[in-house]
Amino acid sequence: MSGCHDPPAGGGGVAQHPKGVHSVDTKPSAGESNTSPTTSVDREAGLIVLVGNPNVGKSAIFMHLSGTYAEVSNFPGTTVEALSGRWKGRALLDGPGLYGLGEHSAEERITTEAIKRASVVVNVVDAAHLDRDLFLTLQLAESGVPMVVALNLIDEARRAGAEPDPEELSRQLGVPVVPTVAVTGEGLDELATTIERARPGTWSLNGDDDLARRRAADELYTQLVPQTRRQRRICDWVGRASVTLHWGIPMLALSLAGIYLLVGVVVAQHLINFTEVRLGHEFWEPLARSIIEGIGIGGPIQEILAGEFGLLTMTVTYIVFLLAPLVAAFYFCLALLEDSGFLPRIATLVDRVLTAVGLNGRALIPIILGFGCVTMGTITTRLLATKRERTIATALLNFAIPCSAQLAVIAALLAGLGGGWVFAYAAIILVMLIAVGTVLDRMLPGESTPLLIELPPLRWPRPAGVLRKTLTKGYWFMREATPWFAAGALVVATLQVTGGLELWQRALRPLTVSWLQLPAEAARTIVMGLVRRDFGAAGLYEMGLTPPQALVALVVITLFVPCVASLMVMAKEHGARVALRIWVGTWFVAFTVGGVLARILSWLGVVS
Amino acid sequence: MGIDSVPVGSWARIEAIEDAAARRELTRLGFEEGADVEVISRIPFGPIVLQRRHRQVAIGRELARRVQVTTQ
Repeated sequence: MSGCHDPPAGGGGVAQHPKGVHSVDTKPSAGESNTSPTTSVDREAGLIVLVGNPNVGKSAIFMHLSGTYAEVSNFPGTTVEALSGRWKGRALLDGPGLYGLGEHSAEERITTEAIKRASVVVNVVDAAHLDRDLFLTLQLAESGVPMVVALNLIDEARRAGAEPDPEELSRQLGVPVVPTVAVTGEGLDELATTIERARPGTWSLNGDDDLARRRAADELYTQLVPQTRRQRRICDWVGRASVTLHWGIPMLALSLAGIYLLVGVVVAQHLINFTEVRLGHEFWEPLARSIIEGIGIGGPIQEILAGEFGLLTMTVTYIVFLLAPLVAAFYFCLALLEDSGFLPRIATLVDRVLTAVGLNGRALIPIILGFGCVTMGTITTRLLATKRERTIATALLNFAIPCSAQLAVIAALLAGLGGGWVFAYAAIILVMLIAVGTVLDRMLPGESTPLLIELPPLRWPRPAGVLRKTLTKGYWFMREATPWFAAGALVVATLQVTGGLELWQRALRPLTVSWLQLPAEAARTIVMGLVRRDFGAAGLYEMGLTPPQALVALVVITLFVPCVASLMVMAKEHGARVALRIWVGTWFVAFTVGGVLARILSWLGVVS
Repeated sequence: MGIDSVPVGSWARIEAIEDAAARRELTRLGFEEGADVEVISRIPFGPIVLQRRHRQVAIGRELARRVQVTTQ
């Protein structure tokens, strides 16, 4: 039977736009055929735009139609820019999620602009939270753009005993409505054929008043959804508990402990031990060396390809056998946090802490993403409300947040030292975060904006979704990082062959040996760190450092310059001046803190 | 009074939201002036979590002071 509900031909009920409702289902092909004469003028032929509230499944529908991967998360703000793809030869845009149309933010402007050009708008709504979504739906239905409503997450609404009536919605709005479950693909084929029959809504509101529209939406909602008491489910209870102090904090602590156990212990210690030592050092590197020798390559080229910093030896070992497993483990944990809907709840719990550094709870999202990839985190700072908050969050990310690759190497190094050192490292980085944030909060004019965040319902993450996200993001990260890593290795290997490394090490002796109390070879780490911090940290691995030296070196390299990719994103988002200031600032902060720490450690009598 | 002083578990009617940007956002989200909401959590010195029907929003303490409500 049909799950699709068209408004009755001729228009019943509230229809006031007879031109949009004429015989529609007979012409399935050309995208322009159904648009009403008043709206077809500046429409781009065939352009389809997905519009909806954050976190309603737009991206899943986009992926289904276009075959392109887009992020699916259970928190608002993942799609920062409009993604474009193609469907049946037509352009398809996945806009950022938003609760209403206007000119109040970059997301709204992007979407409003795209809707003006669209020949069809697919309005994706969350059937389980239709009261909220109807506000935007009514705005679209008033605008006269040809549209289709995808009543998504209909399964969730059904389970909650609050399934909206699609036929009634279609009749009231005058547009086709298709119930869907995007993640399982239910109803999507039907949605695809219905796009051909999109038409302008017949809804009209007196004036353009937000409050009037909200009240109309609420009233429409009560007509669509049976007003019975919803069943409380376990997820609802956990959701409520997670934003209270006495349940939320232990839940947060438990999650962090779980992440540490998986990433820091199982993967960083046990799995890496096997992949890096057995597969990397003992199997792959001798094999690569013997192949290079077998081919008869010698001299400096041999050194560059298969020497200490060889492109085929060290680079491969670090990327394939050390970074890849750790980065994947980390993205797996992030995917769980994102898809479960726990992230905005954590943002609520830590709001108080972040207001101390001029941010609000919302800034937790870019910061957490920064632990995956600082570059990605820096891009996501766009979801913060003011330039001031974006600047502070960007600075925190680029000064003191180690990305997954760096964490990977750091975890592997610290794992050998024991709990006390792990704690000391974490405490120092935390203090630095607070210090950098506080200084900026004082320096920059203005004050922090208050938190206002919707808390999505908790959901069990879908295993297929989590796996897909882990692999896609992990792959994306490795693809991004590998060329830089290889370039860094090439530079260092070349410097070594030409004797430049020796000179550099000697030149930096006052800084490394006298000030930081590290071996002279640590200067290499600094060269490598200029390219990527994780690469720098990787260089520390075989230096035979004592525990206090390792701590100093790790703190320095964590606070040191952001990777080249992050630097470029910063310059793009905040201008070259801010980017350069942050970059130079990291030199100063990293070496000052490192030197002071070395002094404190020797003063405390920790043998170095 | 501000919704920051409503005890957890109580209901309140939003009378006025004294912040233009927040009023717009809350209206879109369905926490508009005139709506009855339940306070489901107050993080000490931190945000207040409100629920209407089955949906929740968290608002910072400062903002909560500017959300004027009446209780029954």
